[in-house]
Parts: sequence; C-alpha cells; structure tokens
Amino acid sequence: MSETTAPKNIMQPKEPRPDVRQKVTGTARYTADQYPAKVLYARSVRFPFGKGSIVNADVEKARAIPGVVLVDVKKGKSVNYAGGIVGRIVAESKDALEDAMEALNATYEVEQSRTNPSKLYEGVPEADAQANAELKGLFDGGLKVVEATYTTQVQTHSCLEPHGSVVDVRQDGVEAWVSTQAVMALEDAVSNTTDFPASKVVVHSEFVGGGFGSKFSLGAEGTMACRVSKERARPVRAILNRSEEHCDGGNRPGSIQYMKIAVKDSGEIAGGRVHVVSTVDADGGGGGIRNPNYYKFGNVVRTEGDLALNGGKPQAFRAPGFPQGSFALESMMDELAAAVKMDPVAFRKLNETSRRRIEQFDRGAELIGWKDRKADGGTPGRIKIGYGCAAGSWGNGKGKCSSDCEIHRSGEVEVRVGIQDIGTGASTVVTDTAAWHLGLPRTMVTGKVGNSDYPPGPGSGGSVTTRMTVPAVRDSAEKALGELKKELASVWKTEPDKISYGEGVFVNPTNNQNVAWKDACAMMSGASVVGHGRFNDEYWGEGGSDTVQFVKVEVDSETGVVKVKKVVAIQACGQVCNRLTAENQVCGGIIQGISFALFEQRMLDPMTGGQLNADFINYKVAGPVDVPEIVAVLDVRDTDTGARSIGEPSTIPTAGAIANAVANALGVRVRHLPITPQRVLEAMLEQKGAIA
Amino acid sequence: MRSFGYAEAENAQGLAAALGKGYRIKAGGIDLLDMMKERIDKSERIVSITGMTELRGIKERDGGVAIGALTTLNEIARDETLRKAFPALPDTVCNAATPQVREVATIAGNILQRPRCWFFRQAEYNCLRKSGQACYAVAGDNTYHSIYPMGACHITHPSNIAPALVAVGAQIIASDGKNPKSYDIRDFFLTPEQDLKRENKLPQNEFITEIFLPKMPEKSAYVEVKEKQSFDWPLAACVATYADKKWSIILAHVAPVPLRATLAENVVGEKADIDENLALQAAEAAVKTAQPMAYNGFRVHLAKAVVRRALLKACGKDFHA
Amino acid sequence: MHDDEQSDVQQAAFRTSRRGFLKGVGIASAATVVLPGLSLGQEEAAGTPGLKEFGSGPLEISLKVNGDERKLSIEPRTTLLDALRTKLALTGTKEICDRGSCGGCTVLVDGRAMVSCMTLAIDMQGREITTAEGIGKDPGFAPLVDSFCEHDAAQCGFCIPGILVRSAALLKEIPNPTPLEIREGLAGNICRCGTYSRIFDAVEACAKKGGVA
Ligand SMILES: Cc1cc2nc3c(=O)[nH]c(=O)nc-3n(C[C@H](O)[C@H](O)[C@H](O)COP(=O)(O)OP(=O)(O)OC[C@H]3O[C@@H](n4cnc5c(N)ncnc54)[C@H](O)[C@@H]3O)c2cc1C
Ligand code: FES
Ligand code: FES
Repeated sequence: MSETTAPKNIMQPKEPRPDVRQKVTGTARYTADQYPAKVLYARSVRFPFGKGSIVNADVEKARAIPGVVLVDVKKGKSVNYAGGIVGRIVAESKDALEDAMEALNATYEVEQSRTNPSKLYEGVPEADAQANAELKGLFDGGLKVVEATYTTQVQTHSCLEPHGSVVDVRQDGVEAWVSTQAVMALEDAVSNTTDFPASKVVVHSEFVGGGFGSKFSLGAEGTMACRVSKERARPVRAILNRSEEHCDGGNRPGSIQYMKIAVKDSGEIAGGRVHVVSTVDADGGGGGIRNPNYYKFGNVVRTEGDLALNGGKPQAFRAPGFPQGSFALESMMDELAAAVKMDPVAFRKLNETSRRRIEQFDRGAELIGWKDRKADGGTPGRIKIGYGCAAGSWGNGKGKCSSDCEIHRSGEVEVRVGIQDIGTGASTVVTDTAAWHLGLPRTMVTGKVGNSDYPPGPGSGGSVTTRMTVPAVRDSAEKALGELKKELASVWKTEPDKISYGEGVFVNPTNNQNVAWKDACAMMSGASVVGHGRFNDEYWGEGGSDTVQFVKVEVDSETGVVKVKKVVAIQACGQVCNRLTAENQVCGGIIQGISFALFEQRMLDPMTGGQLNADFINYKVAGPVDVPEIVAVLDVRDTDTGARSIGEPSTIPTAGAIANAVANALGVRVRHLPITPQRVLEAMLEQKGAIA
Repeated sequence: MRSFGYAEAENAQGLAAALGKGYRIKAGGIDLLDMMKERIDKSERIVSITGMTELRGIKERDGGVAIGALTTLNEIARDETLRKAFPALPDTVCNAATPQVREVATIAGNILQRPRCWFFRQAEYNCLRKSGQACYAVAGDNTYHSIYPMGACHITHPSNIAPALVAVGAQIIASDGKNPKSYDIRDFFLTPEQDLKRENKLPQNEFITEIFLPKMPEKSAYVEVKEKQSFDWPLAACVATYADKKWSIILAHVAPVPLRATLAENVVGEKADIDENLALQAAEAAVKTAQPMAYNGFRVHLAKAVVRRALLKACGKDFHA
Repeated sequence: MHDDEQSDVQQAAFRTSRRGFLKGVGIASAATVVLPGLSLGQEEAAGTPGLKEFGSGPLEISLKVNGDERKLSIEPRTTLLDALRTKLALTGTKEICDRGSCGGCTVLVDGRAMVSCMTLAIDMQGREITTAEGIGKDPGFAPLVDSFCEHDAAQCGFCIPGILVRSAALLKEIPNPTPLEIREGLAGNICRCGTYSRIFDAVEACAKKGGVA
C-alpha cells in the first residue's frame, strides 16, 4: 500500500499504536462511554427550522413525565439556524428525556431563511481604480485569459463520537470527561463554568472519537452539563445525537470563488482577479478561503467576503479554508494549462513555488501512470478514464508544549503530556519518541495523554500536536536521563556528566563497566526520577509538509457517476515518528477528500431552512466501496530531522485532483462540489449541449 | 424510542388476535423502529412475528417460487434457486441497505416500508401523508422526490425488491387468521391519488404470509444508479424481465409506486433480443410521461439510462459500450 | 446549493405566506391512538392463545452475551444497543447514528452481524449475542483481532469495534473474500477517519493466514 523514500537517518518505528487493541476490541472508554452512577441525562431543545421561534410548547406536560427532572423552553426566543438552542431537558434516563421532548409538542413561527448562496451572491466587487487599471492592462494585453466561478458546499464534521461531556461537580472539585481536542483549554472552561479553581478540576479525554477541528470548546452541551451537575449535585451526561451533531456540531463553510487569470504563452501565469466568498452562519465570520496559494499567480487583485446563511456555525475543519481554495485554484491551473496547450504537470512545475513539490510531481506522475493520460474526453465508450493532480502544503511554526518523563525504579518509563489523541496517534508519538530518544524498547515506555492534570500541551489544531510534542518529549526524556545519571553518580561517587549512556546501557566511569538500564534504574534512591521538559529548539530540526496528489477516476458518462480508482500521495512530514500512524493520517486525509469531492453536502431546505439530511442516510459519507487503491508515499529525506505536520496537508489536494481527473475524463469541467451525478450531467448539458 | 406494549405472536391465530387488539406487526423492525424513533409511527402496541418460523424460507411450488414473508433480504440474496432462475431478484437486494440491515430486514417489511421522503420522515414537517395540509416537496428541496406526478404527495416508493416482484406479477398472500387472501402485486401499491395516507392495500387486520412468484422469467436484469456505492437508495433503478413473449419494464425509486413503463413495453413488443437502438427508443418512451420537479430533472435522464441498460443487460449485452 | 427560483413560483401556489403556512406546524402529526378500555395486563396475557403479551412496563429478561447468561431489567422499547451499553456496561458497542446506517453498533446474533440499535433487547432472549469485547476474548477470532492490531487498523477507533464484529461475520460467510467482497461486506460501516485501507488489509491478511474459527 505504501512505501517510504530515503529513510535511513532517523526514527521510523512502525509498530502499531500501543492502544490499538483497546480500540479494536471495544475496551477503550470514550467520553460517550461514561455512565457514572446516578447520572442524569441532559439535552438541548432545538429549533428545527432556519429562522424563527417557538410559539408554544407544553412544558407542563413534559415536566409531568416520570423521571423528568427539568424542562426549560424559551418561547419567542428568535433563532437563526436549524439546531439553534431554545431550551433544555434533564431526566433520569434517555427514554424519559425523549418522552419529554415529544410531550413538548411545540409549534413554531417560521420566517424565510437564507439558504441559497448562489442566489444571495452579489458578484465581484469593483476593485479600486489603480488595481482596475493594472487588471485592464493584464487582461487586454494579448495574453490568454480564463475566467471561471467555482463553488463548494458546506461539509459537516460528522465526528463519529458526537460532541459531548459527562461532568461530575462534587463538593471538593470537578471530574469531567469531554470529547475534546483541547484537554488543557477545556480544564479552564470547566473551571470557569463551575467556579472551581483549575487545580480542583480534572478533564479526562483519553480516547476521542474524532474531532477534525470541531472540538475545541466546551460547547453548549458541556456548559449545560457543568451547570446542571452543579445545581443538582449529580453527574450529568450531555451527548449530542446524530441530528444535533450535523446541525450544530460544526461545519466547513462553503464558498463561491471567482477567478479571472491571465497566462503568457510561455505558460507563466501573469496575474488576475480573485474574489472569494465563504458561506457562514448568520453571525458571520469563520470563512477564510485560501485562494490563491502554492503557485506563482503573478499580480493578483484579491478581495474576500462572507455570505451569511441560516445554517449552523462553521468550525475549523481539517485544513480550514484550504480544500475549498485548492479545489478552485487547482481547477483553474488545469484550465490555464489547457489555454496554453500545456500538460498540467509541466504547467504546474513551471509555476511552482516549492522545489520539493517539483520533485514530488515527477514521482507522483510516475506512480499514477500519468503517461497513460489521454486528451480530455479521449476514452472511447461510455466509461471514461481521467487523471488529475494537485498540490498542498502546511505551515511550519514553533510553539509551546511541556512534558514529564518519569523513570521508575523498575526501569519503566512513563511520559505524560497534556495533549489528546483524536485518532492521529498522539500517544503513540509520545511513546515512540521517548523510546527512541532513550534508546529503549517501546515496551518499556508508556506515553500518556488526554488528562488535564498532565503538563500543558497544545490543542490538536493546525496539525501542531506532533511537531510541538516531539521536542518537548525529547527534552523531558533527556532531563529525566540527567536525573537518573545524578542518582547513579552519587552511587558510583562520580560526576553525572562523566557517565555515558546509549541504547539502554550506562558506562560506570569509575570502572568502565557496562550497566544495563534496568540495573541502573534499580539503583535510584527513590521510587522514580522525573524530567520536566519543554519545547526545546535543539530538537526542532528540519522538515516541511509539502505534498502532491495524483488521482485516477472512472466516470460513467451516461449516468454521471464518478468512481475514484487510485490515489497517489507524495507527502513530506519531516521526521516520521511512527510510520503506521503517519500513513494512516495520509490515507484518512485522502478519503475525507474523496468524500468532500463526491458526496458530502449539507442540504438546507430552501423553504423552511431545516436541514433535510441530518443523518447518515442522506448525508453521504464515503464508505468502504468508495475507497480506491491508495499509495501513500512518505517523502522523507536525510535532511528531515524534525517532526512536521501531516494531518491537514494530506486532505488539501484531493478534491482539486479529482475535479481535474473528472474534467480530463469527460472533456467537461464540473466547477461545483460535490461532483454528484446531477452536477456531472448538468455540466455536460451546459458545456456540450447533450449528455454522453 | 416511544414506549409501547409488546407481544409475541406464536401462530396465525395469535397474530390475528393481536391485530384485532390494534397491535402493529414488527418483522425485522428496521423500518418500524426507525419510524418509532422519529416519533412518526405512534403505535401503542407492537407484536413481534419473528417467532413464526413457518413464514420463513424459499420454496419451489406449483411451477413457481414461494418466498415466506419473514425471509430476510440476505436469504434472498444468497438463494441459489433464485440466482439461477431470476437473477434480477437477488440483484435488487444484494446492495440494498447494508449487510447488517439485510440480515434482519424481511421481504414483507421491505415492500411495506414507509416512504423515505425527508419531510415525511421528520416529525416537525406535518405533511399531507401525516395529517397536514401540504406536501413540502412542492416548494422545498425535492432532489429525491418523484419525477412522475401521481397526486398531491411526491414520494418515491422506497423498496428495491418490489419492482422485481411487480415485473413477474407476484401474488401477495395474506391472511386475517382465518382465510387466506391474495393480492396481485400489480395493483397492490397505491398512488397518492388513490390514497394519501397509505402506500398499499393491505388492511390493518391482515398480515402477509408469503410472496408467490407464479413463473420465472426467461430473461431478467436489474440496474440501478446510486450517488455513492456503499449503501445508498438509488436515484433510479429498473427491472426488466421477459416471459411468454412479453417484456415487463418496471422503474423504481422515481415514482410513488414501482412504475410499470407500459409505453416502453409497447416499444419493444414481443422481440426477445433487443439491440441498442430499440433499447434507446424504449428508454425514451419510458420517460415520456415524466414531469420532474424543480430539483430533480436530472433523474429523468437517469430513468432513461436504467431502462436502456436493463433491457440490454437482460439480453446479455454490454451496456457500457 | 440549489437554485430555488422555481420553488418560489411553486410557493405561490400555496396561496399563503411562507410564514402563515408554517405557523402552527407541530411535532404532533397524528393523533395518538388510544385503545379504549384496554389496559395491558396480566389478565390479557393469560387470555389469547398463540399470543404472549408483555405490556409496556419494565420487565426482567435474561440475555446470553459473550457466553454469559446475564439478567437485566428493561422495557420493551429498550434496544439491544441501549441494554448492552447502559445495563451491561459493554460500551464497545457504539451508538453513532442510532438508525442502522453506520454499523457502529454491530453485534453478532447467533453468528450473524446485525445492527443492535434497530433491534429490541426483548427479542434477543435465547440468542447468542457477541460484542466486540466478546470477539476480543474468543480464541477463534484471535487471528482477526491480531490482524487488526498488527495493521494498526484504527485511528480514533470509534467505528472499529463495529467493523471488527462485521469483519468477523464476513470471514465466516466468505472465508477468502476478494477485495471487492471485503468492501461490499463492510459497506454498512462508516469510518470517518478513513481507516478503511488498513481495515481491508487486516481482513485480507487474516483470511490469507487461515481466517477465523
Ligand atoms: C441504512 C439503511 C439503508 C437502507 N437502504 C435500502 C435500500 O437501498 N433499498 C431498500 O429497499 N430498502 C432499504 N432500507 C430499508 C430496509 O430494507 C427496510 O426498512 C426493511 O426491509 C424493512 O423490513 P423489516 O422486516 O425490518 O420491516 P419492519 O420494520 O418490521 O416492518 C415494516 C412495516 O411492514 C409491516 N410488516 C412487516 N411484516 C409484515 C407482514 N408479514 N404482514 C403485514 N405487515 C408486515 C410492519 O407492520 C411495518 O409497518 C434501508 C434501511 C436502512 C436502515
Ligand atoms: S448506531 Fe446502529 S447502525 Fe449506527
Ligand atoms: S477510526 Fe475514527 S471513525 Fe474509524
């Protein structure tokens, strides 16, 4: 399935994540799996339409249901998206809670919602006079000019473990389980909401069933759990159901992206006009489409705006703004290449900003079989084959993280970091990094994460976890080793820095004898020694996150059904802390990219503003049959000595590459995501006047 | 889920008594529980019939095949007799729903399942098929709704397997506990014009015991188009069968009932072997009466495509060429 | 992102403002059928031959789960999923969609994979129920569990117990599945993290090594 180029120099463990057996056999306990004794069930009452308020609700009837503890409904409160909160119900059981929900028998006042971006879109604003003059020169200068508008849909995060908290506010403090990707920040949030000092609060998040950017805050459900638990002095469980998760669990905003770009006959892009709009919620904000990007687009006049819809609030979603931007700009790259009659790969290489990616393009082209690519629409018969490619990358900044490394008398090592493992393998990275740094077998080391009592680490956003954590873990391991050497020095009556250590063996400088790790640890005076580490520049190293992806698709030109047959990803990520988890991230990014490109879209009813597909039947997520052959190549060079990001860059190029492959297959370009049969057929009708 | 009284029927007599007391039948329960969870079906009493093992199994009889009402979709998918004699039938269920659903979902439950219209399936939309005043699909998002107008409500019939049964003119054998009843599946399903609240003729006091296929077709094929390949309701599907010098062409998932494309059947006439050209003409004829709604015009084209493909596939031809 | 131009036109056909039309739309769609004079109780249960009536209230049942006979108190409406999670503390069976569409709640019932969210606990008496935890302890399935682990077939892991259970049934149904049969066999399971490739590899490798017993 995958291969690694030029490994050699650095750590590259490829053992499965230490907690994999717990996950596989269902013994891993997530927040949603916490049912403390005497727990109460809490759920928000939500408005089901795009805009309006609840007129009436039979609160008394709901309260009268046995087992119902509390019912609040704010009649008349105006709400501006389906899923907006208008009340809460607390009950002794899930059944009682649902009975109360039904008993409310609410009636609604519904106003017209804003649901349709293309209808609300106001077009491209006039640029200022000087910019306009420049653009005029560019577009009238005899260059080839391509003008197109691309759109992308709203995608919901759809974490399989819903957002949720189980909170137990006791007299002496608070214990909370939160499905979060920011365990440290959540400690503060719980502390603020319950009025307990952070020192009296512990947040557990050992296992998290996905986050993808949507789980940074306590959320309304967590806040409710904290408050009710405090009021009632009982543990409270507030976990969203699937419908709530779709409507209010975060989403990737959609976009409308206008591009008008001029290109020289040489293939050099000269510049142009770009206007991007993100479709956000009624409060606005949270857009941020990354277009243009990656290539030398020349002199671009860029404007951006937001378009407010009556829909749930956007949240950061795996590479926020990037896949949308990439889809448009990579589509444009292919349209420009066609305008100057160049091969899309050659055209990209010519306009590339990264040397690394230029090499990656060559490697990817070879692995996908780019030489078999036919002219657009060139496959005979109704089933058309197409190839496409696209690029991506990710930022490389430094940050903060701390870590404790504790070496026990038994020789076992425990490393604790206040980060969380949302599926990326963060705890594996901690374990493997410490084991590698200390030269110990992995079985001796336990990496622990997902607890707010551990030394603070970053939230899992911006793909920073690994790149912040590795230098901190190594620093703590080195310091713990120093502590251990101090202990040995006092036994051996020597100076700590005279003691050498490598690969599990100490050398006693007084007699030059080797002392094995375990024997050495047994000499410590106490039960353990601890090294407190911080992000340390010494371990930062070199590396980047450039990537390119190539895609081969099969399009049924009669039905418009697109099947992705193969994806090749060449992905740099600096030092590989664990090959299996790293490759898993890349494959996952690609599969989410396929799902984004072909299937997923939040459907808001134009009439009521209600979400019509807040489920997994009509909200379509790529399943097993939709998954192609994936070749995930970790592009590692001898110079890659520092850990870098992988989770987000791996999902950026996929949709753009698929769109380009579809255009190559059909000779017709679909400029709107997702590329459903409907879109393909409509594009054929529009551009060719007929289907197939 | 809503609370309900529960009973188990051990035999026809017990089941008839239960129906007399207002119980609703639960076979696999996949659709019923879904409707209860959404608080659309408000049955106060549920009777499980899974213990009535005599209603389960596939038997050859009287020159035809009898499929017990409780036979699961997976049992049909795996059945060797059907696979040989009427491959389109197992094909309709091979990819219907999911493996875990097919394991429990029964044939009777499948043809009696309620529509998947996303307005009907949400309690907040009090639509015509419930007790409301309007069909929300008319002014709302109707991407997956009917493209053949048949009254004020615009559902599509959700069953994958029903069109295959309609194609061969299956008999639905039912009982009220005393007397057997028989329904011709070709007029078993009700259009919204005929009845806004019910999708079929089965009265509340009867239950299906088996589906009888009187005769196996000489040729048969099933073709569907789905947005995603891992479980999805089709955007359009077609079953074509040939027997006694007659074609049956049944469209699925495009109309409130499994739709017999009589115009297309007329085009192909008695011809046993159909070429590309004739298949195309039949396909054109099949969609002549289609009248799509605001968002689902593309499915007219898909309906055409599945008719063409099903005819060619039934004749053993490559429809991709 | 549809164009709703036309629906605006059709909207006019309602001859009522959007506001007015939706006003009063209630959750209650059909009047609840109340059966006069019938209270479900013991006397009835005694009455009808061929019909066993249980009423709607709490009752004691016994389920055979992972080889152990377990007594529990449920209501008829309690799903097998809820019973496993909340009554028997077997939380490896996940609630993800609660509508049969994700496979997260898959368990084996007499060796066949089913969605426990669409199954009533009361219906499962006398059946052999196996959850992911049970598969984890069953030596016959050890090669499959090991294969999942060796292939690191999990990211967040939330979908994986359901997929393990479905895979176990799949290998019993088809001991040597083709890549397509694996994909189709797992088509009822959703993995949001996109761990699918690893899962396919794990199932295939297990089959190649001799499968499950
Ligand atoms: C994720 C998912 C995807 C799906 N995809 C598809 C698909 O692609 N194609 C498709 O066709 N279906 C699909 N389905 C629907 C599924 O196939 C049906 O829900 C199922 O077949 C219903 O059968 P059942 O035995 O569970 O019926 P039940 O839920 O038990 O019953 C359904 C109805 O039939 C009545 N009933 C059942 N048996 C009898 C009888 N013998 N006599 C009288 N009345 C009876 C019940 O009272 C009830 O009203 C899907 C379902 C899910 C959850
Ligand atoms: S929770 Fe049962 S299938 Fe999703
Ligand atoms: S591993 Fe996260 S959903 Fe499958």
